[in-house]
Order: sequence, then C-alpha cells, then structure tokens
Amino acid sequence: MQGESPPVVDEKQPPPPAEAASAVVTKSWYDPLLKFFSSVHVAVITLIILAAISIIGTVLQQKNIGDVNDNMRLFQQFFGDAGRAQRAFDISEKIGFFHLYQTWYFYALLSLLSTSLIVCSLRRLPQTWKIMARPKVELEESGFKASPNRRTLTLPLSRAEAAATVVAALSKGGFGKRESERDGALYLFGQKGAYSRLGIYVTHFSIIMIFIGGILGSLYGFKAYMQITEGDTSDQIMMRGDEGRTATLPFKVRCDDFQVEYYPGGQRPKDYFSRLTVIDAGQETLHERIEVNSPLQYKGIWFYQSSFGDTGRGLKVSIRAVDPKTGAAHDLVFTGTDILDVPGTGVRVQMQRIFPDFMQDEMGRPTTRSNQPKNPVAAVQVLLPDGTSKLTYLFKHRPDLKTVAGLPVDLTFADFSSIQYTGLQVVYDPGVWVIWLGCAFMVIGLWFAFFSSHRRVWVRLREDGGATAVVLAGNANKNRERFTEEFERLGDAIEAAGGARS
Amino acid sequence: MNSSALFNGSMVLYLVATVAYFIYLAFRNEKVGVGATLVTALGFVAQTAAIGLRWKESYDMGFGHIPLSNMYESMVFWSWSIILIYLIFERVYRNRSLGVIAAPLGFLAIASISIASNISQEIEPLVPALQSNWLTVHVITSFLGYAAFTISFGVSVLYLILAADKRKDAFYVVGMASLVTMLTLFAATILDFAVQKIGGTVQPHLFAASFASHSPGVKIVSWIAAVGIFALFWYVGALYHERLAALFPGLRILDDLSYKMVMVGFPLLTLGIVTGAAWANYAWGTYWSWDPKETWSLITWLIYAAFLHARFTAGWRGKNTAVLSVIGFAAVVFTYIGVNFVLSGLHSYGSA
Repeated sequence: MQGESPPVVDEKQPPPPAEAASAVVTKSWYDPLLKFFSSVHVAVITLIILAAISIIGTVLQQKNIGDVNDNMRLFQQFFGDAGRAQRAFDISEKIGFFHLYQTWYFYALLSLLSTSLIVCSLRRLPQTWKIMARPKVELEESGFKASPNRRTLTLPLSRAEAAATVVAALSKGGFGKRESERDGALYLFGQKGAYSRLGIYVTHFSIIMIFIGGILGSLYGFKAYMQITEGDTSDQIMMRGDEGRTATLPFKVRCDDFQVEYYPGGQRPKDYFSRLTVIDAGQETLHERIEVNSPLQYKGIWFYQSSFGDTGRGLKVSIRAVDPKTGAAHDLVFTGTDILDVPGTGVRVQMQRIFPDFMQDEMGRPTTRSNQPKNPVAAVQVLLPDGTSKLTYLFKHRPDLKTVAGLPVDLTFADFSSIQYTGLQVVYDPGVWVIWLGCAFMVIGLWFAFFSSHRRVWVRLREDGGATAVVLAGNANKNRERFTEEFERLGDAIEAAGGARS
Repeated sequence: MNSSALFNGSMVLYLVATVAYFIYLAFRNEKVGVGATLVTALGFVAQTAAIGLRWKESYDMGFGHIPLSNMYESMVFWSWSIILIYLIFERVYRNRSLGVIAAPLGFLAIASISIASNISQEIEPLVPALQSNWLTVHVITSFLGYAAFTISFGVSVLYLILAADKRKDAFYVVGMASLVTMLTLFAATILDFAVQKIGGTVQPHLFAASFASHSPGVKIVSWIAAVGIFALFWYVGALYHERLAALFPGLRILDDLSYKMVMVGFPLLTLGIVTGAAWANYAWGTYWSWDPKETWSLITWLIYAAFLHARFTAGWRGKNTAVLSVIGFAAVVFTYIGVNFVLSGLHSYGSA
C-alpha cells in the first residue's frame, strides 16, 4: 500500500508555514513549542508512555474499583518483608498509584496527547486541503515520467475528439474533471476519493470529542447509588466516590416489587428485576420493569439494576404437609417460629430456623452463606402425637432429600419469601452523547483513512500530425495494487473508444 | 453428531493443513497447495457447523445463547476468525504461502483450549449481565481484530527472522524467541493431546511437569532445554537463512502484509472497545471504569496506534514496525488471557 515508489507530485510534506515564514520574520517565542507539539515522535512517545504507565493501574488495585488494602498483600508477597512492603505501600499511595487514572500526571499526559494531536492536525490540514481542492492540473514531463502508472496512446482523432473520449472515460470511472491549456497541450485531471484524506483528521477530532465528553460528564454529571425496600418510596441517593454524601432527587421512586430467579442448582442468578414507579410532583408518571441491561430513564437520569438483598423482615415460609394415608395436602405458612397443626394427623410443626443460602461450616454445622435466597433450607421440629419430636431439614431445591425417615407426614419446602430491597445505580451524565458521537466519528474516520483512497489521473493531449498523442499518469495514496488495475482498465477503455493505433 | 466431535474434526484438519502448507512451501507443488487450501476450508466449514451446533445445543438445554460467552467459546472463535481472515486473504491475493503461519495458529488456538483441563467446555447459562445483544457485537468485533493482529504477528516474526543478515542482530533474536515460544506451545499442545488420548501415566500437562514442576532439578533441566532449543534454532536458522528466505514472499511483501493486517485489526479493535463501552454503559451506567480488561484493551489500542503513526507519518518500515507488531500481539494475548488469570475484574470468566 504505502509502497516505496516515488510519489508523482506534491506528496512530500512541504516546509510547514511557520518555518517558511521564519525566513522573513524573526522566530517567535512559541516556535519551539509549536515544533515540539507538531512532532510525530512526541506523539508516538506519548502514546507509548501512556500505555506503559496505564499498566501500573491494572496491577495495583484502584480506589473505587477494588480494595486498596489488597495492594499491601501484593507488596508483601513481592518484597517478602513487612517493613519494605509498608514503605512501598506508603510511597505508592503518596504518588497516586492507587488512583492512577485521576492523578495530575496522567491528566498531563492526556493533555500532552490532545495538544500534540490538535497541533499536528492543524499544521497538516492546509496542505491536505490544498492537495484535495487545488490539485495541480498541468503535470510536468518529469511528473509523467516518474509516475508509477503510465500509459502512452496515439488516437486517430482530432485533439477535441480525443479529449471528449478521455473525458467520457474519466467520468465513467467516477473521476471528477478539470482542464487547462498550456504550450499547445491540453491537460486533463480527474480525481476521486479525495475526502478519504480527511479520514485521519476526523479520527483525531473524535478523540478530542471523547475527551470533552468525559470532562463534561465528570464536571456536570454524577454517579450515585440508592436502595429501596419493596413497597417503599425514596428520593435519597448516595453519591459515589464521595464518602457517604447524600443528595435528593427532584422526583421520587417507588419499588413496587423485586424478584430474583436462579438457574437450577441455585447459585447462578438467571434474572433479577425491579418494578419501579416514578412519582413526580405527587403524580405517578412512569411504571417500568428494570433489570440488568435494561435500565430506566427519567428526565435524563438513568436507573440501573445493580444489586439486591434481603431485609430479613416480613419472612414468610410455606411448608407443604401431605398425609400419606389420605393424600390430603395442607400448606403451613410460617411467619416466625410459630407452631402449626397439620389438620387430621395430630402432628404439629414448629419452624426452627431458615437458612436462605444454606451451607455447612468447617465443623459441619448448618449455616447460611448470605442473605440471598439462593439455596433456602428450613430446619423444622416435627412434634409427634406421642410427645416426642424430630428435627428435620427441608431443602427447597432438593425436595427428594430427607434427613429423617419415618415421619407420619410428608413435608416439603414449598415457598419462601421475605421483603427484599433493590440496589440501583443512579447516573446522570450529560457528556455521554458527546462520547457516542465521538465514537461514531472515530469509526467512520478510520474507515475512510484505511479503506478508501485518493485516486488521481493526469492526462496530456497533444496534436501530432492529424492524430493526438495522449499520455496518462495516475497514482493513489493507498491500496496501490488495486489502483494499478483500475488505471489499466481506464487506459484500455480510452484505447478502445478512441480506436488507437499504438 | 455433537459439536465437540466436529470441533475435534476441525482441529485435526487444521493440523493436516499445517503439514500440507509446509510441504507446499518446501516443494512448491501446486497440487499440494490446492489440497492444503481445501483441507483448511473443510476445517473451517466443520468449525462453523460446530459453532452453529453448539448454539443449537444451548437452546436444547433451555438457556440458549450464542456460543461466545466463556473462555472456551471465545478461544474457538479466535481460531475461527484467524482461519476466516486468512482464507479471505488467500483468495484476494492469490498467495497461499502464509497458510504455513495461519493454519498452525488456528490449530493452536482451538487445540490448546480443548486440552486445558482447568477450562470448562460445558455450555453454561448466562448471568444477567451477559444477557445482552451487545455481547455478540462486542465479542465478534474484538476477536476478528485479535485474529488480524495474530496474523500480523506471525508475518512479523517471519520478517524479523528473514530480514536479519547477522546472527547477533537483536531483531533476529526477538523473532527467533517468538518463533521458539510459539513452536514450544505448538509441540506441547500436540504432546499433551497425544498423552491425553493414550491416557498414559505421564502428567498430561507439559508445562506443569516441566517449568512449574515441584522438583528444582526438573525445573533447571527444563530451562536449560528451553535455552538449548532456542540456541539451536538461533544457530541453524542463520545457517539456512538464504534457503529459508527463498521459500517465502519477499520482505517488502511481508512488511506490507503485516501492516495491512494491522489496518484491518485496528478499526475492529476500536469497534470492540466502543461496543464494550456502550454495553457497560447500558448495563451499569459507566462507559469506562478503568477495569483491568478495559485498560489493557486501551494499552493494546495505543500500541497499534503507535504502530500506525510510526509507519504512516514517521516512515518506519520493516524491522522496527515488525517489533511493534510483536509487542502489540503480546498485549493482545495479555488483554485476552493474562488479565483473566493474573488480574481481576469484570471479565473474570477465565478464573472460574
């Protein structure tokens, strides 16, 4: 693509305007600065330093993402000595390694990159614009000679007829046309895909846009968290990254319901969602069901399903008791450690304890891993008519598991519910649209910069004893092999249409 | 027929294709060359069918999702993308000499994950955060980009080895070191696979049995062997330098190819990062959180951006950009695999 072949014309970067001017005017104070920022080497080195320094933040836990104290363990592992580890920890904290991406020097590097990007682009843009908008129509003989693609034809036509043939072929190939007359020769010039030269500027501009979007978001936006218990209404949010500062939303949100479903086996949540109602100025203005990957938006503020939990209140456990003799089933609904009768059997059941997320500890004792109802197990005391009692465990997900045999009634864990709360991430980010626009520009810019090329064709027509001598030259700034084929086709078309004799 | 039988079939076909491409290169026999391409294409068809079948199997299990959601599935897709990009390249440029790079890389990606005993190959249900169409776009764009970078890496290693005129050339050493690393992985994968099939008593994991062995003696011997193998390649490679160079397209073409692959990979990686950010924003309300995976993808992006600028604007060619391509690929591998095992974060599916 970017072959080593010498370019036909004007591909070389001319001296930038500032340097050209410096021959006449004395150098101004900002010249060295301008020179520094417009250097590609500075830009590339900045990219590499940014990449290298970013690594630190991926190795060390960062504030607001991970637990900074984990870094102490890491240092201890690395140094094997508590004193040195402590020193390393203190130094790292001091120079901002635990919030690397918010440090002044990280911002300084980003600013250096932006400045370099802007200066580089602005200094090269006028030249690019000149190549695009004011192309050199009359190519010199040396230009024709040096061209990587060249074709000479003699058409048995008058110059005007030959010109018409060439113009027709050019326009059929999609090349825009310009012409000029000098020293008895007619020069034609056609180009297409000139805009592809702007692709890289669009890409550079898009990076600045993304930075602007990020700055807007951090200046005028906020990220917060709110927790609403089922049935409750709230407008209180807890700001993130700002130890415990609370704020009040301009409207209220009510959590009507929260549900979580697990995949069989019980540990992996399949789906969890909240039904929310927005209450603005006393009016219910919006009802929506939100879940992960499906947020709610009201007045520019977004609510994302982020976490959930159990309040431990309003516990309701339903145990199904079946009398094997009669087949009669009874649902016993417990709201505490109450004792309930199984009608017609003389058996009574007492709820002992509920384990929402059952597990056994090291000693083999039953306990619960969390408050989430991932694997609910009920410990119930079965009080038999003869005055004895038996303790049994009922597994909601494993109704086949029986810990005690020979009970006069068949007990299964039917249902479990309690009042839950939903955890919502609350975000307001006015810069996010600038970010997406920037991303779109970036992808479009890259597409033009890489996959379309500026293709140019120069033609000189000269009358030559009743016939017309035609010389064609052409080049492309990218994808040159493809262009060579196109150029050959163009030559063939002119040759065929003009009835050439070579 | 189930999907894993088809995956195994495609794996074997890629191995056969690797051998065939080598024979084609050594003897310039067109018939063998066409055969190599056919075998690769057949392997690709089998792999595509396997991915489709696995997709269907997930629906049969009741939690259907596109098979792009865990380490195993993404590695398979990486292999698939490498072969896809190579086959397109072979068709467009009518040159099959790089099959000798693409086929073994495609094989390595799928085979190494198939034998890794600590990686689950089960079809698993998706946690709510992954239940999104963004997952599909994000993974496909990222991995097509990774695949293009992989081929660029392979071509660059070849370039570094062939471009050297002296054995002591640092670029040659980098090239050889990369080649020996890849060959060791390749050999280890095949050996592991063979041992696993025979069901022998040998520890089926070469790495665990050598470099990571509990016995310091085995450890030392392993390292000495590794250095020895490297020295052998380094020495012999230089002896047969001329003959090797004659097998492959010219250096200018290799250089150009490596660059073209970066040009394909870079916009795809950009799209991968952008779709990832869009997804994160939709799921959690944060488009960028400096999570290690995100940061490493940015590091990779910055390295390839440096590559493009060095080449486009600063006029770097050949060995310099080839080394950048090798570094970029190392960053790709770390972004994809290293982050999951070494660092922690949102994408920690590999540690499960």
